[in-house]
Amino acid sequence: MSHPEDEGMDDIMQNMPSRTLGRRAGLVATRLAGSMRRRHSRRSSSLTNSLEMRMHKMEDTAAPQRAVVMELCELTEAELIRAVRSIPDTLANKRKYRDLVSQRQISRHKSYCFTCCSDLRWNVTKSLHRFGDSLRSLLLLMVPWREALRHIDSRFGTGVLSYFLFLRWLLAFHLLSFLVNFFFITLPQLLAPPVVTRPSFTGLELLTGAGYFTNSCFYYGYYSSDIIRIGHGSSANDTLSGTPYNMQLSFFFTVSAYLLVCGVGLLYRMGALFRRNYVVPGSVVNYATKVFSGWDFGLTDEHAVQLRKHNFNTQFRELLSEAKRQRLSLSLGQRAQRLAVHGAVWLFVLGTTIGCCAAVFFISKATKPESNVQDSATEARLLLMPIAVCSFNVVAPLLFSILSLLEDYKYPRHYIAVNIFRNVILRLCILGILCYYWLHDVAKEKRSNVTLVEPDVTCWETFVGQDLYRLVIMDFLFSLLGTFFGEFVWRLVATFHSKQGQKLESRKPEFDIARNVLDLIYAQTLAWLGVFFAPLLPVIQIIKLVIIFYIKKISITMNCQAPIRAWRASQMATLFIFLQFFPFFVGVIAIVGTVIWTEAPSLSCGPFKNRKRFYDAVTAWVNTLRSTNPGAAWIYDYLISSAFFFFVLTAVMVLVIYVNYQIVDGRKQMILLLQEQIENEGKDKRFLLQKLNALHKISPHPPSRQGPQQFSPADAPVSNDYLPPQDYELEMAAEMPRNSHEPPIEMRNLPPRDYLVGPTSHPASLGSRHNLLPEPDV
Amino acid sequence: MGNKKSTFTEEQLNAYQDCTYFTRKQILRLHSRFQDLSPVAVPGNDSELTVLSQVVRSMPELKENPFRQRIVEVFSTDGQGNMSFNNFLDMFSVFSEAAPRELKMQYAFKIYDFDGDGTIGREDLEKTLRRLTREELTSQEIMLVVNKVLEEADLDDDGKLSVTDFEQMILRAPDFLSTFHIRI
Repeated sequence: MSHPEDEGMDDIMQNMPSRTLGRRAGLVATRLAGSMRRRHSRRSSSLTNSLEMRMHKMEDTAAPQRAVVMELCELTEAELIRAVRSIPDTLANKRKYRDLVSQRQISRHKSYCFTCCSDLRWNVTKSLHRFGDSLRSLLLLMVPWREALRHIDSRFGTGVLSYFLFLRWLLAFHLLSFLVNFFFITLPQLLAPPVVTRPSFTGLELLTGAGYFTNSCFYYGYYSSDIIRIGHGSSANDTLSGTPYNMQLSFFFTVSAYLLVCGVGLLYRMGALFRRNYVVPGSVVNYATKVFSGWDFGLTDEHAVQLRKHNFNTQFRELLSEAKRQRLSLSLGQRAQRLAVHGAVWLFVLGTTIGCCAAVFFISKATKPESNVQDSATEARLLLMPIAVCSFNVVAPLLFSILSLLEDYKYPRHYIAVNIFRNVILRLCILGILCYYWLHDVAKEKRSNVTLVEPDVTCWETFVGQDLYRLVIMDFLFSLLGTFFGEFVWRLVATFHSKQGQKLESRKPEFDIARNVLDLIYAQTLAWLGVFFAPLLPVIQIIKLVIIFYIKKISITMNCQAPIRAWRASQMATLFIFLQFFPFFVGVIAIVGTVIWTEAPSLSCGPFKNRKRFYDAVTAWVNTLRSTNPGAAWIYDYLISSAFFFFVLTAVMVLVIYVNYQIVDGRKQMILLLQEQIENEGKDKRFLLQKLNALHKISPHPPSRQGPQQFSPADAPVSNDYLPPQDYELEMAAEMPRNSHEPPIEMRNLPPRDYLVGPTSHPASLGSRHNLLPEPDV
Repeated sequence: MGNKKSTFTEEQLNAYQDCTYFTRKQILRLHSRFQDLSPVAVPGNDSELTVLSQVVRSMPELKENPFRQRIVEVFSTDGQGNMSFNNFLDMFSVFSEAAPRELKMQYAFKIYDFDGDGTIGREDLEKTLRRLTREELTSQEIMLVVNKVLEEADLDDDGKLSVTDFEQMILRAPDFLSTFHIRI
């Protein structure tokens, strides 16, 4: 709001404490006190309050610095470094603070400990920190591809960069999985290899994973017996020599531990992202956010910068026109039409999804190999299912996005979110139908007491592992093809067809971040599903991810233009990690859990062949523990396998969530009230300044300009129109806007204002309005 | 290579490590970048080597940034943009990934405050907008956007954004941390 009556008061306003404090070094101290108050809530607020009061009264610049140093001395070593780094002052001053503080701390340590002990302790803590720092720098070195990512960031911005960062983060999961599986499952078996027969190697195995690879250490079927003997026992007679290694338990615990670590990692990252990106509830700040945090400071490529500036222009114009358009409301007929279009598109989407799932199911059933028939034609037919799945995953989302152009969305981000949602539904349904097929049709080996039914597929776990391998390989090939056609060929076509005067850059394809991130999440889900059935699948995934990184990087640099829209990286990152966790990871846990709890293992292969269910291995082990370690057995019986314990745990968690939710709700209301209060204070301030200005004009003497205003009613010269001090105050009090007495309308529904702090809550303290005037130095 | 290591004592490197968000290796790398900009000794500046403002502004990381003039002014001790190594290190430390939001907010406020009066007023907002949009918006549109920004972010309604207003607004902009970031 422009206030024309403010012009004469600029000099007064410049000298107000809130402004002058900012220009002195005192800002350092108050900011430090403020940030440390937020971090160390246990620290008494009286210390920082007294610090701030001292700030108000100080004139010279040395005293605030002394106060800062004293405040810093209270901290421990780690907190000290963090505090020093976050002082918003020049580096030279920060070094001065640090030196002063360390001198003081050394002298303080010397004063009340044995001298040699204190020196030793000081040196030990210092060297620990140095070690921590060097460890941190070493870890930074081990992280791959930093130069490449910097180059991408400078040319394409944070949105595209987030895709590559996500890829690199997923690589860590696969490395962990590979290490764990290799050392705990594969290596022991390799040291005591079973005798297997293998057909000859034809080239088809690389695609199908069957044939030569069937009985290799790649799949579940290779791991032969429940307890293997590492060492000397290789002949059949020597069954008791060598170190025993319980393969069943190692399988079970390795898989559970890995999935647990993945779950914890995902939760941690979700929590970190949520904490970082959580938007404090309050009024909408579209324009301000765009202006102040819209510019990507990391963009250094000239063309990208020009494009981004042009995009800002478009965005502001869009926002302005949206503001005008919102006032038009749609008629009933138009709204019905919009809903009808939405409904039709959704029906089509769901129909296509069901059709794709049915197609995948029937193709899988049709291509399932008959028992013990192994020729290359049957093997090649196995590839039909993965090809079908991948084609549906590519074609259907394109169809969906073309159709959604017919719909009318209020904001472009709704359009992106709805498309992502539809894509996710499609992939989840296809994966779900595949899991159903595997668990019900493939794993059909039922035991009967009299005869053993010969199943269609011997060793169904290996077959499922092979299916997953095929899916992974096909997904890889399709993404390579997609990059080739979607980006390379498009650019060639654009170059060929570019007209004169039309910039080539704007016709190049744009990197579709959402689709690529979903591809990564989907591939990760396949890898998680395969962790039980194909222990060495992570190797393939690692190779695949590394190749995809380089291909995408090269393709993007050569073929794509800088993104037109500024990608809201934080919101999208939170959305994607939530998607990865909630449907995909939880689904994997559900499937693997179902397999372990209810399915019957194959009779002829794998470490679990003598058990009725996979889980029986653990129960058998606990039974053996009962004699040796009854405590562990008790924990198992009463805590892990009892439903009551989990019920209690769930109830406690729900209670904690409810309490936190209420706290958050209360704080939201508090924020609204405080904002209201700030607005009212602003109005009061302006009112008072206007009164001052009016008095200025009445009295001819200007106020003195050195330091803070020495303005008090006693300074004003006597004139006929000048009111004596008491009446002046009373008159001001009489004309004060009554905002502290009557709550505004929207506040009446809120709980009583008992907890409002500050002068506005007390009508009697109107005399304290004096605080708004610049205080004379005392 | 040996020459660069002997420029700093152990104590100096420790001090730099404690006061910035960089590791040793990064500090040494930044020093070599600084040397590449041919710093000169400016008389009356404690004989510290300084790089002139236009040379800093022509660095590839800053060359295309619409706010480069303000950035170098804010981080330099003389306020004109001529930077010593301390200023150089400080600047990239604030822009690095590890710097916390509060610190970045402080400096962002100083950068957007073109006239240095401790508040972001209308003229500051206008200048910011002009730099962001390559002068393509008309004056009327700029005025509309400035009004909207003040309407949204100016809590105490005095026509300017103070530090607290700015901070409150940045708390609602989760992208700020990732956009206010220069990789070096």
